[in-house]
Amino acid sequence: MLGSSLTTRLATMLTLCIALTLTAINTVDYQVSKRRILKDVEASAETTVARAARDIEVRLASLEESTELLAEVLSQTPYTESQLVALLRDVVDDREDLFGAALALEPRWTENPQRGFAAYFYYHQGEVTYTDLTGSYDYVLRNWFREPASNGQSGWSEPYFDEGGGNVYMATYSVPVFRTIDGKREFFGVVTADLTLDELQYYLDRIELGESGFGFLLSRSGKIMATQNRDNLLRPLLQVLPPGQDVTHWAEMLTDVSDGQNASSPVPCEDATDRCIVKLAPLSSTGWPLGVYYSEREMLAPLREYLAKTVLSEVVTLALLMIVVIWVSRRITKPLRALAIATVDISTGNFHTPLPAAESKDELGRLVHAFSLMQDNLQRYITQLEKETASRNRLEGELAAAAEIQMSMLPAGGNASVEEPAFSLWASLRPAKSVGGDLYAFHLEGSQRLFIAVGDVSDKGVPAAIFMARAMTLLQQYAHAGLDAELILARLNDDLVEGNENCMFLTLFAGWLDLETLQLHFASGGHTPPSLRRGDTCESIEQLDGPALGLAENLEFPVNALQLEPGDLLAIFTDGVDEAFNAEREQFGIEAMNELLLQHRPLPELGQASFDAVDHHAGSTPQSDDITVMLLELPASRRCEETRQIRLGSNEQTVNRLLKWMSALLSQWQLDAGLQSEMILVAEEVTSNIIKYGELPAETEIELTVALSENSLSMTFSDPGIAFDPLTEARRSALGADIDHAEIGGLGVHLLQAMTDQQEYRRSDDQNHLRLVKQL
Amino acid sequence: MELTTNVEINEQKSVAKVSLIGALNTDTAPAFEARLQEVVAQGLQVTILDMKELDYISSAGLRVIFKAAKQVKAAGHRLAAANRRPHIDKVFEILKALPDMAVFANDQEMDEYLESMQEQVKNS
Repeated sequence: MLGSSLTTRLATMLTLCIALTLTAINTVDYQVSKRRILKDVEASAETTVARAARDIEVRLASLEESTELLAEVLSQTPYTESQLVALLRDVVDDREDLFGAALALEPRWTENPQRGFAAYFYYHQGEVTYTDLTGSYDYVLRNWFREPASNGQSGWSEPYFDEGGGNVYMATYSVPVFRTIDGKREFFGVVTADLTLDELQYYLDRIELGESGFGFLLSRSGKIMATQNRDNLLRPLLQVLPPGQDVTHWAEMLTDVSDGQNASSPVPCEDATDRCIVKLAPLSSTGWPLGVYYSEREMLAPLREYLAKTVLSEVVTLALLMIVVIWVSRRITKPLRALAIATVDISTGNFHTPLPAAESKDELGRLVHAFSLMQDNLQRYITQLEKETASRNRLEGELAAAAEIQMSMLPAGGNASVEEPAFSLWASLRPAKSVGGDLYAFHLEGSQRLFIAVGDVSDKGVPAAIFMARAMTLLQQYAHAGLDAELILARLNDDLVEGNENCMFLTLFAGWLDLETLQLHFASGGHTPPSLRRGDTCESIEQLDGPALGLAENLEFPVNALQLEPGDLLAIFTDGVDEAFNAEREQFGIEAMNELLLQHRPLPELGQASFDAVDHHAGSTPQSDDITVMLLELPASRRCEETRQIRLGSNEQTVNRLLKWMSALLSQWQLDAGLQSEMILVAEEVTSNIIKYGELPAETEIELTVALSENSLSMTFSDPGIAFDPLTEARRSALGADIDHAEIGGLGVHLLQAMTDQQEYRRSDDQNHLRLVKQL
Repeated sequence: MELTTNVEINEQKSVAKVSLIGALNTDTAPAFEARLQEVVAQGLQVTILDMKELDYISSAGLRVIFKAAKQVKAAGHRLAAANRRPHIDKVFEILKALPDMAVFANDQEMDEYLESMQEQVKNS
């Protein structure tokens, strides 16, 4: 659940940072505190030693003083021996801090010099007890007596175990007593005072230096007078040092102390892992070394304890902090996790997924708000997109229908291929968008004149297409009326100017070709000059150009006359050809078109090749403009064409005459018998139809022109009857019905369409003209 | 361009054989129509149009044949064509004329047809 989540990282990082900081602080604190504590401990140890020394010295001084006083009294005042005993008893009884006191006299000055005098009082089981030290004890030989007697100085004895008297460990202060006897200062005796080592131990026991720290007192010769372990009493210190201690070092320290200096040194502790400290200082009065021994580690125990408590409390605090951080961050990121889940849901297209509630105005609240906004906008956007897509689909459907309608306005639906004895014509239009602004038209007037036109409306798309439709209708109207080219352009111009708020315009090439003389009369309204191929050259023709149509009224267009020759090929195209761009923004160019036209190929192939060449040039660049190409080729040699004509009145003999004439003519031309029969049949069907339905005025005739060329036979029927286009208006029976349902009649038009290759009807000069061509 | 029409009637077999010689066109159709109507009026079981020597037929001629075919069918009789030459055949094909009309390519097929017709008459 946590893994690499924000929560984990936050908690981990925070805890780690704090833990590191605390560890650093603790370490520094410990080191500083340790140094300070050890310094304090050292000072305190020194103070302790000093205080114990002072206390002991006060004790000793008190004892020494009273002893000295007794000696002074004894030296001044003569007492009897029994008085002396009583005096001594009083002193001991009086001084509780005194274990025992002795008074021994030089035997010379006693009442009984053989025996001498030595009285000793001491505490025994709480009672002051008297012992006479004369006799076997032989007190004169004892150190406590001998030393003061010989050197005349008072002083402390080495510690010893008093077996005779108190049976305790003790040290004795001896003071020599001198008395002036006979004017002579004589040694009179010795006064002693006993101090039990237990008394001294009392002071040492008050020293507290850690758990195992203790104090010890040595005699001047280095014997232990007081220490923790009573077994070691009276033993030389250097002999009882625990193993691992540097005896020499200790000896040096003792030497320093006996020289009156303080000594202090770290030594190994008993368990050898820690450092212990030894401090030694001599008692100023006796020179006894007083020492303390303590472990640094123990002295630092409180610090460690404090540190342990600190660390523990810190760990607990950290744990609490971590819990709080996790709780807070999970609380904060809860909407984020919900948001992540919701977003995944949204990404599958479910825009109604509820987003987590985030009332707060913090970053999260703003994020959720932004997401909600995004969700709404996405939803709206998708809905709008769906609507737009639907509407675009509908529009595209309508455009496709419009394109179909527009193409149907062009002769042969935008792809024309006409083979005539006198000319071949191929034309094709390909719009850049589904509907376009290019146009072409051609119209054969009789068999003498051919009208051709190619135009280009500015811009493309729907507006251009509508403008084109208007121009196309008018153009065809004027062409069928047989108007001259320049006049057609002038009229069309005036028509198009009307209501042309958008200032659209049309460039137009239009011309009439006289199929007899091969003279082309044409006018150009700003249109690209057509290319003329003659023999092995192909060049744009020179023309007097007029303005584009639709922009200004009452314009005049110059007439051009061009004499064509047999074998010529005229290519009229729109700028979609020469201005076709490729990815490098290079135009296809008229030169490339002219070069291509040099190929002598059948027109449909040549025309297709020109479109392919433009496409190849453009490559992946989309077609930017409508492309229209019209190719008009004249036969290389005037094919020897034979034309016959017959005029038929409308009477009973008409059909018979026609059939006989046709039969004779076709036999003369040596046509295939089957073909003859079919052509006669067609002629009969057309003629009888005209007679039957044409309502021919009296005294009028049907004119039939039959022309034979190298590869075709054409029949043109002209009659002054009522306007009637048998190709579209004639009644046609449904074919293939069985006898019960077959219609009687309505068969003729089927026959003429099946038996000829090309049918063309036009009405001009109040005559019906029906032209039928059969390819041979 | 004339049309000669020969009619042979075998009343015993109830068969009329109408031979067309020449051209059946707009001009000749009315006369032929009259002649054919006479034959049809006799109510024979089978009327065969022999086109062996028919050079030409136009839609006017076809119209006459259509009309006759309807009449014969209405009377429960039959109209058949025999020996259609290729270009005559083509006209029929173009117009998909009378798809249910019996057509014999030659005299032999016609005779066989007549034989079978006889059988049917006898059996019925």
